[in-house]
Amino acid sequence: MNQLSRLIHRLVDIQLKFCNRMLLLLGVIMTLLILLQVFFRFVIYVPFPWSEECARYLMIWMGMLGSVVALQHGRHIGVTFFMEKLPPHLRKPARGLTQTGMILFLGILCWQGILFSLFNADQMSPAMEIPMIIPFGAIPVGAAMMILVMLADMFHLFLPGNTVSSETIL
Amino acid sequence: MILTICIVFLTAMVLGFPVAFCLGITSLVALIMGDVPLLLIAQRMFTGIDSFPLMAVPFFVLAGELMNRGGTTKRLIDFANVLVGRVPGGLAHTNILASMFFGGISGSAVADAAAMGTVLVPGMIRKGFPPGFSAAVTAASSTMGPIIPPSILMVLMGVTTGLSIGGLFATGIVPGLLLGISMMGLSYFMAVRYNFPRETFPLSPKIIFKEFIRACPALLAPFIILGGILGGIFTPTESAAVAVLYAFILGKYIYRELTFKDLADVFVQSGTTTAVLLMIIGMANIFAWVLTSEQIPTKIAQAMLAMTENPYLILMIINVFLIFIGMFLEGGAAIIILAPTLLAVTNSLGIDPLHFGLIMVLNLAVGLLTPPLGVCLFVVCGVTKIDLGVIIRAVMPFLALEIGVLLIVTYFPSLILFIPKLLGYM
Repeated sequence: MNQLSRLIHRLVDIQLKFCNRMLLLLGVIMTLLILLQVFFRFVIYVPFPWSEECARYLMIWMGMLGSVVALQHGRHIGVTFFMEKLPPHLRKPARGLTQTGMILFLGILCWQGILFSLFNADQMSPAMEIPMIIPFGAIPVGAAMMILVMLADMFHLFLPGNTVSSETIL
Repeated sequence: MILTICIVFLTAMVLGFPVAFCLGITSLVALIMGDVPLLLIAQRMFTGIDSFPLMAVPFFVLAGELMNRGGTTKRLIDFANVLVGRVPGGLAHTNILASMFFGGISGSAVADAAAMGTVLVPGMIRKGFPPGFSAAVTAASSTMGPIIPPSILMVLMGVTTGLSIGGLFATGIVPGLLLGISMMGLSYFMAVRYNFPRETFPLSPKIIFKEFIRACPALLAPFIILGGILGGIFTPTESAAVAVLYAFILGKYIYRELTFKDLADVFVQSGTTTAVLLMIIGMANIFAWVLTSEQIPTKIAQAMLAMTENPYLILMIINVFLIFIGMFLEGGAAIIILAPTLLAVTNSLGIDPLHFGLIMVLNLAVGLLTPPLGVCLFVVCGVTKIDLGVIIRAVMPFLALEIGVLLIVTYFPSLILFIPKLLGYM
């Protein structure tokens, strides 16, 4: 169990770094694309046929990967008021319940995301003509990463002592 | 079914699930009970965030973050301070006026609350303001962010209902000013009554001019952003991207406070903030489908119209309903789930759609200050570490004020509609 916990925490640390890098990259490319679109239209009077579509798909990846980072840092908006009012000995089981619920939901989202991506795998996007599995894939990938974050949080809560960096999340 | 949905949603909320996941889990339960293919979850989530106009959201968030890190916000605060700092209640007025400037560039109340909470609240407490009041004035004035254009909530309103985003922005100008002025009035009376401190720095036209010059590039930003949209040169998304570029140039080359290391962090932070919003939007889109398939929006609309067909009364009912909803639902989610239905109701009674759009956004801005889900309260509480209960008590007068402005805007539509009319949106 301890080894599994360590492994998951390692993975979560790696994926956090990965997501941070990706957020930077996605944000920069998205901004440049739209600025270029403006530039093309006003300065050289040429339409930029795929900037919009590309930026949209980048934003979807940003949403899913950013959600992983937000979950890790407890940045998702929620009502923590009631949980904080719980007597201390009930807090741990209640958090465990929330974590289990999150993992179940994300598991279903991930599974349905995989099915959805595969059903549409050979469909091509209208402007760039890339396989639609590229944008659709953001949902299962992001959900899977979030499951890992929740698992790490769960290990941290119920098997403390063998973790490096993780903090409480929900 | 309605009962199940409400119970699941509220239970998830009490258990501390993030709002996005409360919506997702409730939808999932409803879909399973209704025997609907679960593939819908992935599909609705994807289509919910796959939108070009929606992309104004990440850009406005990014622009706000760039301004905070690049020293732009600081210049705006300094300039506000020389203008109003010597009035009784000095820093409270500075806080409000700086929030108005900030609201003209950023569209997010949260960014404003975080910035002013970090910079101004410690200063206010040091000068002898009560901590509760300092936090309350910060939280309350930050809600002007989504009213004063540009506004993330108005972008969502436009995306969801097809109303012109530029037109919605134009309706926000007057109520934004009204809110700012009345909040300053309230702070003035409280300052006189409770003897709040004022700033005592020396003031001369020369100093004002100097601060104006320093803040000038920052003050130009709203004109570039709004001018571009209202003049029909840019789409809101493009103008938001231009705002990012402008905020970057300000921070990097004019105020020179932005390093490349900061820049990386700015992108990560704003990406995370954006993701939180996108997640809520995606999940709300599933939730909206569930409600529609149960014909709940139609039932709500019918129930409202059954009560009265008087436009004034309907607007009052909508206000009460939305203030209640705003206590539990994040603003963006509320728009995606409810705006189309409510708009159909007001349209059938001949109420101007832009008027309705503004009323809804204003209601949801009030919701930023009402517990249990008062996002601005949380943010200010988080950055200042002042007890939430104390902030909530101190924010009550401001809440009353905001509801007052809401009523004025509801019943004197010509007050706000003349600007969009002037600009040709109607």
